[in-house]
Amino acid sequence: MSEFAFGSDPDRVIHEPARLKIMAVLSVAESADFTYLMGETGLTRGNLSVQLTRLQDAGYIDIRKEFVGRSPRTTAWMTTDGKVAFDAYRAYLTQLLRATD
Amino acid sequence: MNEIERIQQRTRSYWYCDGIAELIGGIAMMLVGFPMVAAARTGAEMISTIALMAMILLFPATARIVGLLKDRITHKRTGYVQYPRPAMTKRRKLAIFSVLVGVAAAMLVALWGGDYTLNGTVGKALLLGVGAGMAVAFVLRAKRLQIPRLYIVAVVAGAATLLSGLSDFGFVEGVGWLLATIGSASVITGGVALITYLSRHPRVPQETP
Repeated sequence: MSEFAFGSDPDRVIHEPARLKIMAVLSVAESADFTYLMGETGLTRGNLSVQLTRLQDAGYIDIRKEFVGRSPRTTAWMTTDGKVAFDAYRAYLTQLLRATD
Repeated sequence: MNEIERIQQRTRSYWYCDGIAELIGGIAMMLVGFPMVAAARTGAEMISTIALMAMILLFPATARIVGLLKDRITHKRTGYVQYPRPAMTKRRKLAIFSVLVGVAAAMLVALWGGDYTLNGTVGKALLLGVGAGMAVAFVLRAKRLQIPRLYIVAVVAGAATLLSGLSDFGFVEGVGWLLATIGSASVITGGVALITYLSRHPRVPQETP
């Protein structure tokens, strides 16, 4: 019998598609910069900035702003809490799929 | 494969998206391979030394050159991704495996009559082993990262291995030809990938501070 409880909610911070894409990138990379995340998620500059701040506020990612030569670079990486939350979210989805099979 | 898995796959293979790593790696292989061939054919010790120095100096420098080119070309266009460094245990295992392969090869040569020029049967077997190993490595990388052009390099490596097995090359000349051939294939596939990448990403997006 499945242990999945239909009453439980997914992590709302990660559940949002744009933030899920950001977390998917950061789950396989040590870090990624703003330009790469913008290209991969298809988000506008402003929207990506908002979503990154939301993830940072939740403690799932950290952000560093620096200059590489004369160009600014904003880099994001997943925190330990973020890795735990992302794994839990994946487990939630897997259980959901099994329960509805 | 769903959208999330596609994003993860693209991020994993992003290092190869521009062909720079293959291009520079291929040039390094050619710069080692051709002097090895020349050294084996002429027997000139100076050329052997050049090949050895190229091998020692070029491969560590390759990563640095690739990094510099990516900073100037790729990171400004499509962004920067840093990958996790392999765990120390994995690197240790790889180092131990390399030493064991070297010791096993030396023992094999010693048992087979001690011909350290490796121009006999053992040298031929080692040559085939090296070539097959390189071909398999390219296939595995192509499959894991889903980069079809690496299959082309794998096929070239396999064909070069077969041809060197059928020829009368000694070990050094055979490995030289293998490196030169695989390097040339990498330069071509990497060059095409770089041209394609540059034509798809001509503009440089500017990040606001």
